Amino acid sequence: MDEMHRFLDHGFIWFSWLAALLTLGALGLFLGFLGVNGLAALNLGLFFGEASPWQVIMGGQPAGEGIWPACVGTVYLVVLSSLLALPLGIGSGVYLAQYASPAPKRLFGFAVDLLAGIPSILMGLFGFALILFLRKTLFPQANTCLLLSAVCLALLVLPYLILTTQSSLEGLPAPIKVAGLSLGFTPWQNLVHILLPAASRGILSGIILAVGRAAEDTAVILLTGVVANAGTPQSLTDKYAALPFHIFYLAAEHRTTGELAQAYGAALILLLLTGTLYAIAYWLHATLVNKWEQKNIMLRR
Amino acid sequence: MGTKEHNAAALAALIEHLSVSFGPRQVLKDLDLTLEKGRLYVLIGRSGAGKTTFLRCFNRLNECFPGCHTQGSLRLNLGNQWVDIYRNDLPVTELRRRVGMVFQTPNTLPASVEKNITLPLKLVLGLGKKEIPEKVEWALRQTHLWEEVRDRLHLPAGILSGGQQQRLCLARVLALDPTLLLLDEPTASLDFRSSQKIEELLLNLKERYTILAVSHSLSQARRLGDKVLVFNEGRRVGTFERSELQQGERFQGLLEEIF
Amino acid sequence: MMKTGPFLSREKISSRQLRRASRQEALIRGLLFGATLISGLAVGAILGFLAYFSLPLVFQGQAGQILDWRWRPFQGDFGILPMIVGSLLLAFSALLLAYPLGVGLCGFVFSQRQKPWGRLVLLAVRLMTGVPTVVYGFVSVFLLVPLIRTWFAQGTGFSWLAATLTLSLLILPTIVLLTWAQLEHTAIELRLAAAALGFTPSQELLWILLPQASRGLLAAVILGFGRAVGDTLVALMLAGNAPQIPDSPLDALRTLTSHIALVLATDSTSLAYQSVFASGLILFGLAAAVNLALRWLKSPAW
Repeated sequence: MDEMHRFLDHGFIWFSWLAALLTLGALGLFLGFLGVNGLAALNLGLFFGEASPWQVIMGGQPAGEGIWPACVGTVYLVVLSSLLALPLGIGSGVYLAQYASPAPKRLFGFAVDLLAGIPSILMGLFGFALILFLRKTLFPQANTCLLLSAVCLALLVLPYLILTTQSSLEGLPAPIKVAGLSLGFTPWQNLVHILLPAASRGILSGIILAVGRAAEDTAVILLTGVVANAGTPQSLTDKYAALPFHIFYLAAEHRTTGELAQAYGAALILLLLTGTLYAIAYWLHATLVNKWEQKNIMLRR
Repeated sequence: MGTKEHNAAALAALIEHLSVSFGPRQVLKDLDLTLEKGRLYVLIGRSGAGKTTFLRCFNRLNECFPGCHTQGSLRLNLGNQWVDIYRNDLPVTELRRRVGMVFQTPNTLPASVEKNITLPLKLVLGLGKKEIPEKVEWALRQTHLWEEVRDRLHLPAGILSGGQQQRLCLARVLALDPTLLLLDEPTASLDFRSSQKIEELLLNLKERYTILAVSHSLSQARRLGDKVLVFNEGRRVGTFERSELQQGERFQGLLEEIF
Repeated sequence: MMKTGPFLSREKISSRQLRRASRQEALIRGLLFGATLISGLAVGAILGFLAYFSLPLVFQGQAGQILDWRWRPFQGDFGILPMIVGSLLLAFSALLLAYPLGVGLCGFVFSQRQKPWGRLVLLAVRLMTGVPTVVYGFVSVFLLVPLIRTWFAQGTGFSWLAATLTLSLLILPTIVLLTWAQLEHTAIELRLAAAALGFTPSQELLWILLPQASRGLLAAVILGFGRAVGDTLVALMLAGNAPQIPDSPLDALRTLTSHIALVLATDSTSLAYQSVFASGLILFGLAAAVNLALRWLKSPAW
C-alpha cells in the first residue's frame, strides 16, 4: 500500500507540473502568435485605411478599410449598454442586499442566477424575437440596430452587476453595517454615506467586469444588428460595426493578406482592451480584500 | 401602580415580560426590570447569557439581525415623556438618536476625526453648518479628547489609538444629545491606561445620563456600578447595590454558581 | 455645566421633517424595488419569447419534425437532434480534457504557492479570463486548424477536435479558479493537522484537501459544463458546422448555439426559424438544469 501511495504521490506531482507546463505552453503559443502577427499590423492605417485620421474623426469622412468605425461602434455599444444596465443592476443589488425581505430575496435571487446562466446567443435570440414581434404588432419598420444590441447586452451584463453589488454590500463586516444605524441614520443615509463608499471597490470591479463583457461579446451582436461594413453609427437605429464581429468576419471572409493582417491587429487591440479591464477589476478586488483583512487585524489588537 | 406612578419621573425605563429570540433560539426570557434615572447599571454574566442582546433591545438594534423576534414591552422615559418603543410610538431613527450605543471594538467611520461627529449631526439632527463646529468641540471636550485631537481633526480617525477611538465614539454619541447610554464592554479592547480614562469619564457622565454598561470584569463592575445586574441564560438572576458588592456573601455565592 | 448640550436638539427635528424623511425612504425603496422587478422580469421575458415563437411547432403538430436526425432545410428536413448531440459531445469532451488539467493546475499552484512560479501560473490563469472568446477562436483558426490539418493529413482541420481543444482552454480558468477558491478557504486547522502528521504538500492535497472540497469540485464541473454548452463562437469558428453526428474527432459537428447563429444569418423558411427557437428552448432548459444542479449542491442536504 505504501508503494502505491508513493507512486500516486509522485505521479500527481509529475502530472501537476505537466499540466502547468502544457497550459503555459499553449497560452504562450497563442499569445505569441497573436502578438507577433498583430504587432506587425499596428499602425494608423489599421484604423483609418487610406484616409487621414483627423478627417475621419472630425469630418466624418469614411475610414475606408480601417477599423475605426468598428472601434467607435464598440465604444458606443459599451456606453449605451452601461447606461441601461448600471442603474438597474446596482439598484437591484442594493435592494437585494439591504431592503428585501427573505422571500422576495430568494425569488429574485433565483431569477438573477437564472439570468446569469443564460448563454449569450439566447440574449441575441431574444433581441431578434423582439424585433419579429414588434414587426408584427406596433412597428412594422422595426429592424435590428444599435439600440437593440445595447439593450440585449445590458441584459447580458445585468447579472454581473447585481451579484457583485449584492455580495459587496453583504460582505461588509457587521460593525460597519450597524454603526450608522445605531447612530440613528435611516437605511438610505446609512447606504449612501457609509455602506456604498465602503463597498465601492467591489462594486467598481463589478462595473469594470460588465464593461469588459460588453466589449468582447460577439454572439449577442451577431443577431441584433452588427454588420461588417458600416461607418460610424449616426443614430440609435443604425446598423453598426463592432470589433469582435469584425474579427470574426475577417477570419471567415478575408480576401487578401492585408485584410488578414487587419484582423490580427484588431484581435490584438481587443485583447489589450479587455485584458486591461479585467486586470484592473482583479486588482481592485485584490486590494479590497487586503483593506478589510488589515482592519480586522488592527481591531483584534 | 400607585407608588410607581408617583416615582415615575425618577425612572428611566420600565421593562415587562421582555423576551427575545433569534430563530429557534431564545436569548432573553421574560425579563422584568425597572431602571432609575441617572444611575450607572453594570451587567455581568457569562458570555452568551444575553447581556448584549438585552442592551440592544433599548435601541432596537436586534432587529438588524435576521430572525429576531421580540415580545413584551419596553418603555423609556425620554424627556419626561413615556414611550413604548416596540409599539412604534417613536420612529426608530429618532429612538436610536436618543439611546446612544458604544460598541466593544471602536467602530469609527472610515472618515476624518471631525467627520465622525459632523456626519451624524448633519444627517440625524439636521444641524446647519454654523451650529456644527461648536457642537463638535463640546462633544470632544466631554470625553477629554479636544486637547488631544484639536489639531488633527482632518486626519483619518484610524490614526488614533484604540482608547482615543473609543472616546471618539463616545463623543459622537454624546453629540446627539441622548438620554440613555448603552455601552457594550467599552474597555474590552483597550489597554489599562485607556480603560482607566474611560471609567473616569463614565463616572462623570452618569450624573447627566442613565448608563447601562456590559462588563466582562467583576472588578470593573465593583468600581463603576451603582447597581450590578447579573445575567445567566437569558434571565436576570441577581441585583446588587453598590454597598452589597464589597462584602456580600450573597454576591460571592451567586457568582460561584454562575461562573 | 448644563444638563444637556448647549443646543436644544430634541425638538430640532420637527415631525414634518421626520415624515418627509420617511416618505423619501419609501420612495427610494419603491424605486429600488422597481429596478429589481425589471431585472427579475427579464428572465421571464426571455423565456416567454422563446416559448411564444416555438408554440406554432406544437400547435401545428410539427414538433416531431424538429426532433429528427436530419437537417436539410432545402429538402424539408428540419431535425435538430444532431445539434443537440453535437452540443453535448463538445461540452463533455471539453470538460473531459479541461477538468483533469484544471485539477492538476490547482495542484501545481497549491504545492508551489510559496514559490514565484506558482503565483505566476495563478496570475496567468486569472488573466486568461480576460481573453475574449472571439480571440481564442480567431487564433485557433490560424494556428490550430492548420496544425491539425497537416498533422492528421485528413479533412479540413475544422473539426470536433479543434473545437474541443480550444473550448477546454476557454473553460480551464473557470474550473481552476473555482477549485482554487475552495482550497484557499479550507480551514487552516486541517492543513496544520496534515503538516503535523508529516504529509507532503501533494499528499495533503490529494488525500485531505481535495476530498474536503469535493462539493466545490463538483460545482466546478457543473459550471464548466454550463459554460461549454453555452458557448457560440468557438463552435461556430472551429467545429466545421456540418449538421451531422461525427464519426471521429476529425469530423465536423454543429452545436445548438452555432445552429442558431447560422440559421438566423441566412434567410430561411418559417419552419427553420421555429427550429431555431426550439433550439433556444432546449438551451434554456440546459442552462436552467445547470443552475438547479448548482443550487442543489449548495443546499445543506448535501
